[in-house]
Amino acid sequence: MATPAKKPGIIQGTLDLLILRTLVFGPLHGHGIVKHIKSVTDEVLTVEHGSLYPALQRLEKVGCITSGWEATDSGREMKLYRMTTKGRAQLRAEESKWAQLTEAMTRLLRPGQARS
Amino acid sequence: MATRGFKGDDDLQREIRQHLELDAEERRSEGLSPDEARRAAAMAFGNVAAVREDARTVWFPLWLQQAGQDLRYAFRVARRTPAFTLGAILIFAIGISASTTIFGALNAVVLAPMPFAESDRLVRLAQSNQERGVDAFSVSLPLYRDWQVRSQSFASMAAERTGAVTVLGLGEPRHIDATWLTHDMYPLLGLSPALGRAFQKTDDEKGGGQVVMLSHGLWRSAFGADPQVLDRVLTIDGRAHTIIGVAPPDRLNTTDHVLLPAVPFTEDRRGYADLNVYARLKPGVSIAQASSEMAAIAQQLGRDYPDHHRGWGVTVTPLAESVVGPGAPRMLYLLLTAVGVLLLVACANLSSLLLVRASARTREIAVRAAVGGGRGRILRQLLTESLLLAGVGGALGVALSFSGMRLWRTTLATDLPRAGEIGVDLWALTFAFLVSAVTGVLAGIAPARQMARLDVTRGLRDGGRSVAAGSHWSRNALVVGQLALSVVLLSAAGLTMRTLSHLQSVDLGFTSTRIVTAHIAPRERPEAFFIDLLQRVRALPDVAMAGATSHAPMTRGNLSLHVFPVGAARLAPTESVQADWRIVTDGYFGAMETPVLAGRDFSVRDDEDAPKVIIVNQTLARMVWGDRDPVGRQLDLGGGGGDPATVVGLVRDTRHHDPAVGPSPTYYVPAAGGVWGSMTLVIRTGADAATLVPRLRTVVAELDPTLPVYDVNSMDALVLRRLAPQRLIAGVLTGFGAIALVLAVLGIYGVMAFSTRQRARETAIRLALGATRWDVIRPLVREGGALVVAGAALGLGAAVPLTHLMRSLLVDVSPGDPLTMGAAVAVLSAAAMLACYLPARRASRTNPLRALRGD
Repeated sequence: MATPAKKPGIIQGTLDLLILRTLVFGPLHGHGIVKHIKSVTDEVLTVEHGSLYPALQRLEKVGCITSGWEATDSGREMKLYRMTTKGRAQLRAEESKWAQLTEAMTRLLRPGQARS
Repeated sequence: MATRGFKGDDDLQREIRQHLELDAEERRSEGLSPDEARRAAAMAFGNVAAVREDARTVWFPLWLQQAGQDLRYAFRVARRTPAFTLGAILIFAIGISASTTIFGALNAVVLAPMPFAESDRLVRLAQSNQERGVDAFSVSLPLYRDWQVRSQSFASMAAERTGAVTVLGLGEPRHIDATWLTHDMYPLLGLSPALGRAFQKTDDEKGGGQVVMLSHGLWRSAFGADPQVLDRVLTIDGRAHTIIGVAPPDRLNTTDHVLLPAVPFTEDRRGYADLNVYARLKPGVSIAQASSEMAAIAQQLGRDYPDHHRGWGVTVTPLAESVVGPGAPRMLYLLLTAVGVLLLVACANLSSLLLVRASARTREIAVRAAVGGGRGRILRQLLTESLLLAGVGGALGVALSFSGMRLWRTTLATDLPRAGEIGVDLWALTFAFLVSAVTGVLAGIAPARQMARLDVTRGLRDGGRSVAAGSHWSRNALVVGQLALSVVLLSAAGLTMRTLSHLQSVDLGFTSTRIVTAHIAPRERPEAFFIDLLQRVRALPDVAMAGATSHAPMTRGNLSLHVFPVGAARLAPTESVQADWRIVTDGYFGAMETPVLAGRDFSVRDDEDAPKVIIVNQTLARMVWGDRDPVGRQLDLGGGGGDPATVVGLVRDTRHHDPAVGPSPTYYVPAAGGVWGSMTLVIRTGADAATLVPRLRTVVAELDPTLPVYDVNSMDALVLRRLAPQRLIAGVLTGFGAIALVLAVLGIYGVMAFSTRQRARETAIRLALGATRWDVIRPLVREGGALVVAGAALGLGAAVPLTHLMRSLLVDVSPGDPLTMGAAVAVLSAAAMLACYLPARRASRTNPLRALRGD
């Protein structure tokens, strides 16, 4: 069952890409993922918690990430998400798809520039 | 540890909690107060419950989650009322185990294909004679050969017969069952030996036959499954036989036995029919086609050999049918029908109890409906509750049916062919599962629909005291249904009990008590042997009288022949009677207490050199000579104009085969004139078998130390064994009837008790206003009485036609017998009325003040 997108802003399917991209830098918990996306994009992109957790479950179910409880630097036990090999492959595929999409969008919006 | 898969709701909850705490901590470090930080974090996160639900839905579809919720809730409900839950589970378990056990037997004995390759093409061929009422007569060796040569319908044909032999070389001399079969039997059935070889053509020729095969069971029990058994020599009936092979594991319910080639041991005479013939239809040939071909062949043979075959046809029966016979399927289908009725009673019972309970839960259900539980959801929830009970009951039922199936194999159905195959298999499990599901839904559907239709506002307002509209009606209908079905079961039980008691007291023509029987098969000069033996046996202490016969009453096997009158008779000289015959010694009738009505008993002087004499029973005498005294008259035995036999005595009719089968025309020939094979000693004694048999063995050993004494029985036990099917049916149906009665009475009690409670207030007011106790009891009992009358009437209406279906199983009592039906109704009504009276009486004794204050 699809998770209802609570707020337009992140195109459906892009959330997976954002999560995977964030996990490239190492294992992270849910709150960390939200914060990372927010700060890297200068708060342009905000992730709804209502979408984040189901998305994490979905990615774990298809095997792109794994999860486990680990002690963080602050000493707090947090559930950390880790990218798998399959996740890396998925990320590459998503990235190239995204590149194609943006290129196509750019071409459509600024035909002149895209040609150069 | 990183693991795959959903880690559970608790894990997710903990994760979210940690998330919120971390967020709040960070906000505190930004300067917010702890409370503000917590609120801000919670706000940022949003609806936790929705997130959890969405996350779970990634792994489990919604319906599955809901089913899980329903199940958990059902468990909680079940735990809240343990007595009700246990009772319901027990009722389900009894119904499901009973039906699974009966289905298991039906499946193994009747429905499962015979355990042979392409068994649907296997048939049995037998002689039949409509005029004489014979439908499966055995076949002589020459006739078997004629059928083989003249028929085209069959791919192959083989013959066998069964009997017993004395085997030396296994320690004690042993009497062992034997099957003589032609060499084509193994290819016909698609069998191959477990060890060594099967018979081949050369074994099956005159002068062959010095070989033997062991059944798999005998190989294991007597030789410990020794693979070196081949080429060992056994002495069988005084002749050396080399073991050439071991049969594959037994597929039908047979005892340990030896297998011998048939042809060298079978008389090659047309008048000597003792083979059972089996054949495999050619592919594409139907039984009807084979039958019509065999009918034509029988006609030719009737012309070619009029003395032997005129008037005789051939029946072609599917193998399964001929092995199992008509009795077992009839019995098993009857029992399955009965258990189906019992299941319906159980469902109606549980349904009415669930309805009562559901009414008590009106407020709870109304709350669920009020907070948005849809009708479908409530329906599903309540069905889950009954399915849970049925499921647990079903699991328990399957566990119980293991014992049930063992009971079939070891006790109930030892005489039933294929009983060894009865067991809990995939079919039985599937059946149990289906029955659980269907009964679960049947029991739960009425209460569930009732509650799903509930009027929410009324349910909430009346505080659970009011009942959903229409539930009164369905409860009453369910009670009437239980009562009616119980009448049906009780009537069926009553009819079979009356049949059994009739058969147990039927005049057998002999006195079965205090008779011990034992088989002996002397090898040499058997006539003299038995004369000698009987003299010694009669001299034993506690022996009143003794004789011997070729076929003891109530045992299997039969001899029959057509007999023609000689001289003046009621019957024309060309007409004949198909008469059973037995070889008996002098003293046999005395020992059996079968009176000789006219003429004399045999004596040791009626030997080979004396004139041929017979004794006839009343039925044969009446058929041949009417009311005239048969003594001194003559019969031609078997036709063909040999020396006629002179009747020297007339004995009372006896029931030979079965207490349920009336006397057949029978004549007896003297043992002094010729004995073949084994005879059964019949000893009337004050001692029991355990005391008598050692003495008997001593006496036999004095004459021949190598002779086994076997198959020791009491005549009572033989009669009882013959009545096993009737006892089984009567016992099981009575058990079912009793269970149904208890359930129906509990059902009406539950409903009446509920109805009485519902009216406690009204009753209290009336008592307070001066009504007598009887004034209070009367309307309640009247209400219950109406249900009982309706149930009894409906039950009678159903029982009369339904018991007609069991007509073939009844003896001396007709279906719809008024006495039996009346008794069934009386028993049920008395118990049910008591169940109505008790709650009413309790209500009449309540303290009005307390009842009124209670609200």
